[in-house]
Amino acid sequence: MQSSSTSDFLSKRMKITYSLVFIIGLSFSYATFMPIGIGCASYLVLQKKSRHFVILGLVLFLLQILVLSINLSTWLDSNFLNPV
Amino acid sequence: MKTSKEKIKLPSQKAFKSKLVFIGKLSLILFVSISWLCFYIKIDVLAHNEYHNLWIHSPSIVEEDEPFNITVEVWDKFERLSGAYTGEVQIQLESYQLNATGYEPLGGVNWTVSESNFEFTSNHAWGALYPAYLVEGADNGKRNFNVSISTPGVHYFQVTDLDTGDVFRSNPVIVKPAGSTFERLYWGDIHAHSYYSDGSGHPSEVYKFARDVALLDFAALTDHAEMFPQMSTLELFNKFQDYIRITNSFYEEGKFATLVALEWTPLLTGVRSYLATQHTNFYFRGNDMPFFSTFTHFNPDDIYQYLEENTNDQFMAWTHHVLRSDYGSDFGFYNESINRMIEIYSEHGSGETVNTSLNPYPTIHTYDENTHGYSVQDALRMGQKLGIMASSDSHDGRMGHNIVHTGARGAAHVYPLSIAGYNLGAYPGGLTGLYASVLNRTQIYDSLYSRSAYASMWVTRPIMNFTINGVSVSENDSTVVVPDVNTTRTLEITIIVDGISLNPGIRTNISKVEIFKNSELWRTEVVNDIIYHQTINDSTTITGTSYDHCIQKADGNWYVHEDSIKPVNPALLNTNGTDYYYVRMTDTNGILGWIGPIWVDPLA
Repeated sequence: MQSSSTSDFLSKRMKITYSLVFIIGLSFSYATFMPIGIGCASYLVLQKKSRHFVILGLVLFLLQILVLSINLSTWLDSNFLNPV
Repeated sequence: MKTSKEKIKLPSQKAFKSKLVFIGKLSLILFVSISWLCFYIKIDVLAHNEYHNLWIHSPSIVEEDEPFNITVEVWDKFERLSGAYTGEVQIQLESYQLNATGYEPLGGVNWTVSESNFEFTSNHAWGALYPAYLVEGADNGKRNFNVSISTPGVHYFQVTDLDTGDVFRSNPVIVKPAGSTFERLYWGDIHAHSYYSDGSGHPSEVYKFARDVALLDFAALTDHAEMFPQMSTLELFNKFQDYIRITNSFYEEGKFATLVALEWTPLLTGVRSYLATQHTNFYFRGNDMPFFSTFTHFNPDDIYQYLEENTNDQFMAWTHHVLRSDYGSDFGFYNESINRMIEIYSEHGSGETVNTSLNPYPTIHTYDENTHGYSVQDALRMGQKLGIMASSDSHDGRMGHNIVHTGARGAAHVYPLSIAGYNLGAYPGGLTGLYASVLNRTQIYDSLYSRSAYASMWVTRPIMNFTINGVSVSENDSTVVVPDVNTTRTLEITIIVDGISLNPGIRTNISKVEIFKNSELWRTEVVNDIIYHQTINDSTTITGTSYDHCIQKADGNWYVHEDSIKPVNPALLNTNGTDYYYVRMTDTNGILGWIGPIWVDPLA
């Protein structure tokens, strides 16, 4: 039998809760409201009931890093180009 | 039963591994959180909202004795309204008149102002957290004054902050004699985005800013069609109709003209073999438009056909950020009756030329200097008749006056908030100056269609006039017909600089005027004065020019460049023996203005 820390046998209620957290996290992984997205991703990554949702939390973090890297790229563009 | 190959984990090892995983997760959370804080929270932008300079706005052309408003705005160093300002200002007038060789000071000017000395009031206590222009009940960094001038001439309003002694000047205002016939000069920004696509702020917030803070006469939101939750005929939330409704609700004849517009954005490069370039804005003469996007129409020709079949309204369209190598132009799709103008400048930079020695605002991700076929100069060489205009293409919700060029760029807390949160541009925005008889939607559309326009940068409103043999831009399809190729052309150029300066100790002048002929720099005039008013003769032979860099692809067809998907006939990519001229002005702030082109067509 698997330990509780890696169990994916979630109750329906928990599945819905985690799914909602993931969807909210996805919606708020855009730059301005990213703290909400980071909160959602952290919640999913730190919970111990489902490994699948840990992975989804990591996906959110990956998305957020991608958005931040786009910002870094535009910031570099702006600062090296702007002669004003 | 465990096999001998299975490792038996001791409790201490397990605890160690679990601690390691926890530390890894915590590090990831901290990394993302700290990165976000570093990128999006800017303490100085958040804390600073103090007086930095005054910006004075006036209409550009008025009639003698006509009552009008000038507006004094107090800006912080990020060019936002400084709502807490309670200083006293004094308004004076500085006047000149043009003469045959230039200009001279004008004395004995009669004028009136509602309050020549005025102390600003404030009830804005939010600093940079909330914009001053949304708080009512006091001046909060912006005040209108009623003015009239009884003496024709060129005038600047001079406003002094009496606490510091700082003196700032308005844009120039030309007062025309009473009863004379003249066109007004209106200023607008017709390329910007709200959070209905990838910009910031609700469309109504963006229009409100454009009207009340940027003080535009005309404006158009051009949100990306592809970002509306509407695909083909399926409408979700009716957001597209809401977008049109908001544009129409802000239209007020005589005060603020809005145009119904949309940006078509080819997005599917790499996924499907559609056009990768040629982002195109569509403008409509009436108050409605059908929906179209890159999901339903794959290239400009498809859309032109679709619109001609599905609307009785008139429309025009042109491309922008033509030199962005990630989404440049495809001038193979040129259609003279639809592509009337070209956006030479926006917050992405200038698309005039790939030659950086001639382009002080190279486009972000620009093509290298050996690339041909994407620039405005190359389009003109191809024989395309395009007028010149500029817009902000702002994504920060500040249509008519974006602030991506200030240190406030990208901060998540700068109002209006953005869903996307990033700012694509690097430079100040652009404006279009438009000569028109009255301020209404159809007149603005018609003036744009006839190319009765010119381009400027930032919030500057210089007055520019350019004629060849008495024919101005837009007149006679911007074309001078001369008897033969050896006819002398007389270029008359008048430029009156915008008095704006962020540094009260430095007066803004025109630094140079450059004349481009057939897309080559023909003449440079060093000026260092507020007004440039000159006549220049060109007696050289009219030769015309051509675009000689078409490439032949594997399908045997010729294209304007390697990314183009529309075959062209290289023999037709020339000006058919006509020369063309356009003028570029640079002021001492480094701000540019463009007017033209005018084509000279020899009959012989």
